[in-house]
Amino acid sequence: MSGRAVFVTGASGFVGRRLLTALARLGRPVVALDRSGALAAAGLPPQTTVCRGDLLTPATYVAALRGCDTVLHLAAATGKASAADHHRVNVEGTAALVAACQEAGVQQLLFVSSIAVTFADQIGYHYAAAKTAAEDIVRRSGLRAAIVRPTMIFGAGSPVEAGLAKLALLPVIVAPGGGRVRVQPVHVDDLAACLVEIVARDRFPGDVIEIGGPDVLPIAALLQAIRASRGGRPGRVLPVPLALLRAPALVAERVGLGAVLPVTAGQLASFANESTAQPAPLEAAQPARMIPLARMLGIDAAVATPDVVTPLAVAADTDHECRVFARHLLDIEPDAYVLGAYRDAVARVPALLPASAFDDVLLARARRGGLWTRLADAYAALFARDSALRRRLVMVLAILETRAPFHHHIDTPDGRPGAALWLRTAARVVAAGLSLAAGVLVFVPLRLAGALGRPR
Amino acid sequence: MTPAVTVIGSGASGVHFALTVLKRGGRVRLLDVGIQGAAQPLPDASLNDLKAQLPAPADYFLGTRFQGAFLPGDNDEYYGIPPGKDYIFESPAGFGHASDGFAPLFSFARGGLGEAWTAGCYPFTAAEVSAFPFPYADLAAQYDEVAARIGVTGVEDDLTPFLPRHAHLLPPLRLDAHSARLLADYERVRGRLNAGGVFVGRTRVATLSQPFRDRPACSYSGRCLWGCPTGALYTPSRTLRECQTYEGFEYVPGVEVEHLRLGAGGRVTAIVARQLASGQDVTFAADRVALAAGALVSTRIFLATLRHAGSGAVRLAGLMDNRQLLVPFLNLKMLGRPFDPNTYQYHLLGMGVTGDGPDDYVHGQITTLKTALVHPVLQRLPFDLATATALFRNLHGALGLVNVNFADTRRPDSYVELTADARPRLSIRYVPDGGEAPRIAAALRRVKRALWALGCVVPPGMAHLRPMGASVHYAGTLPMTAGPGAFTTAPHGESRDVPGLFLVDGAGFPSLPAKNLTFTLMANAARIAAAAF
Repeated sequence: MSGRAVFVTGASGFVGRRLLTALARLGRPVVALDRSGALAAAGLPPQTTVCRGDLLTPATYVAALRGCDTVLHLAAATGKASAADHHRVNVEGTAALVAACQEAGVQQLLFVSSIAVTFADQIGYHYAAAKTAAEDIVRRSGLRAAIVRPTMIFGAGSPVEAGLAKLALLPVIVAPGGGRVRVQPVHVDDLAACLVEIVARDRFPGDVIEIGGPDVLPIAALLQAIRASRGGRPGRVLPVPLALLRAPALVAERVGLGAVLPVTAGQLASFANESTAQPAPLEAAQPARMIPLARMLGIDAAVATPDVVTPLAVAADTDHECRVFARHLLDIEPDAYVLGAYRDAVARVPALLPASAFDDVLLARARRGGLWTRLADAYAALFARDSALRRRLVMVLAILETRAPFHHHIDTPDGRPGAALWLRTAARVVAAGLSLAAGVLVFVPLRLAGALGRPR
Repeated sequence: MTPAVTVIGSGASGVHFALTVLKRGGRVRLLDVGIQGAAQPLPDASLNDLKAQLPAPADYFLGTRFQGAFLPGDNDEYYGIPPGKDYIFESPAGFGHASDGFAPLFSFARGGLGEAWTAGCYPFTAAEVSAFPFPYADLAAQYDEVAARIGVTGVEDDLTPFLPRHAHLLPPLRLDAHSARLLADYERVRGRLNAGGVFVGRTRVATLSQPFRDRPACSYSGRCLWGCPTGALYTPSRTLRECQTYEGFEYVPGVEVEHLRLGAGGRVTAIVARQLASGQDVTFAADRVALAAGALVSTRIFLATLRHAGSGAVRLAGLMDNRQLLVPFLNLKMLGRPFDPNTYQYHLLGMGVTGDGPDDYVHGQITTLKTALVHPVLQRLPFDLATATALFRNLHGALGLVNVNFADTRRPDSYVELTADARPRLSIRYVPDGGEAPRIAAALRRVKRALWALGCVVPPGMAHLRPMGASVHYAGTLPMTAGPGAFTTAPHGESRDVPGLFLVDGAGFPSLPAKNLTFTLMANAARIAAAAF
């Protein structure tokens, strides 16, 4: 690894400023690109110099790049910027920087992207689309590149935390889409430590690395926790259909009224998608070493955030579910690959999230295994055909049919055609009928109880 | 270089047009968006080998975002596009359309929509092209030429009256057990079915049964749907590569053509395109242009050209597409039998059902559905998923599908125009022919009866009428006609409104028989190139 200078874009931003401090540990010269002049030279760590320039105008900084071998690219348009600005800064800006790096002979590029790139539902989310395009540019740049996708970034001065606080402090907590999707906030200093580790340990070229904090919780629970951290009492959660908020927001943005909205149509995507991270292969990203959510917010974890679980617990939960479903469907034990793929699917596919309280009940009972799974599946087959349970069962099947040797259990007949095979088949149909009858007896009362508002 | 002609689009029409000009010594420049996909992994592996050997098989079969997983509540069709072919349907940023009664698919891929085709090569009969304003022999000669380029397999049988013979027909592909059984059963009931106007035979496909030119014979790996790993199944990007071996050929990818610039007399003088990497406009001088971007995108470029030249709002009527009816069936004699996944996966058999006139003929492709993913089908059965899986594995070998195509005609209420936006988008409206429903119902009855005679049942309620646009056989917006007329195309392919502009794709078709038109697109493009260059 060389000791040449490191160049940072977006150095005056929320993450950029903390990163400059963390980079001091490297003992290498740091050049911070500054468009606005907001970086006061006096407040900067030693060995840091400022290069006044504009990302979109490489001529203003290409000379400074020549002395650097690594670029950390953080500059981005975020929040309420227009679609055009998102494209200009995030896509064209990245393209300009890549071209300048190539011209200046920079070898390594660390691009800070966003977990939003993984969102399946990106309706109106120009930021996610722009970051996706920018990742492509980086990947094809020919530079030794690493891409980091942080989850929502917290810490003093966090814009996303401030935005969520506005929602959390309303008289009732408005939870678009029900607030069930899970989030995994990461502290800005943990993120900065991860970025420094990538540079210090020369993790170039790297795969995409996702970075989230040590705690995972539903976004509605996060809003409650933020409310508690600002002295509020627990609020009632008001689930609001996403479409109800998104459609007017899209219209308002189209006619130029986006700036007066509390959130953008795109930011609502955070309520439509799980924004949790795959485990990152970095020391600084080990959950035990990271700042827990309660400390980020300055509250007592046990009291204020009862729904918090660790990423490991989330994974173990999902693995258990995958095993139960695979046994039920094909009487097989899934291997590590299938478990990992299913974990990935649950984190990535919003359609797998329960959409109603009864959806939750059905899924929770089915997870118990054995007869419970059979009855829940039988009931759902006729009375909850689009439920999260059926979607998850189908996802397990879909993964299993792509993987040897499990696919044989899906596409090989039970035996030679003949009376024995048809008798067995008839017996199965009869058994399915009995399961259905029992499923109705169990789940109809549960559904009615749920509809009448009894606590689960 | 000064090209004799600039071609827009690298799909089936564009590449065969270009190759004909190149073979005649002309110089060609081809402008293309040209999105490319990844190479197929492990080309020697069979489909099931992939499930054992790929490190992340779910990424390959379902996509890294699981977009290929079909979940309850999704309203897509039964079998979607495999994730590896997603690139074929990607659009450049900013491309959009509005549509009513039509669900169009667009392709900006290198090779165009033909990269995702199922290789059916069905020459039109003389009766079917009676509205085309040139002698049938001109087209027949080009069927011979294209067959010599791409390699078509097939055989003379009961379908030959509907699929005229052409030169260079290679022996047919090996049948899978289910298709062989259907054909044997057809032989038994042939007289009865023929008397009722139903004929079954081998399809013609551009997939090789023996090595041909630089391509190997089909390896029967079962991977057709996922992307032929060997090139035995022809796709247009192969002809593009052949064009690239000619010195007089210049391939310019990464540009999206916006409109043509016209000069004196309304003649083409230049092409204005957007360079996708920079977002900047670029201009290519050109006095002869072959528009081959696919009927809809070619129509967009044509309309944008008129708008830039100062014409008022123009509406091009006559958009056509083949309505398709999917009829799944169970072959009772195949119940409980295993199937061999190492077989050719697309249609090996076809079904012709005659009517009173050439427009009433319907053409079915019979696929025995073996290596498509089954989770989309399982969830439709009225059982819990464990039972559905257990039942289905005993039915799988007996399952098949007839994809029935219906002819279409040009009508004034199906049209294409541009929106009034600053960057105009295509606006498409399609209204089915008023007599469509009884015609479809009658065809379904006859197909069901024929299947029953072959020992197959159609599960009640399972036949599925695909939305218009799904077949991707778009045609008819700037039809070739014998006499003059606004927004028409001369028999030699030149636009009557824009001299120097040649319409060499489906936009110029004046009628659309009940068959995949791709083979005729290639032959007609080659015919125009031979006639005009």
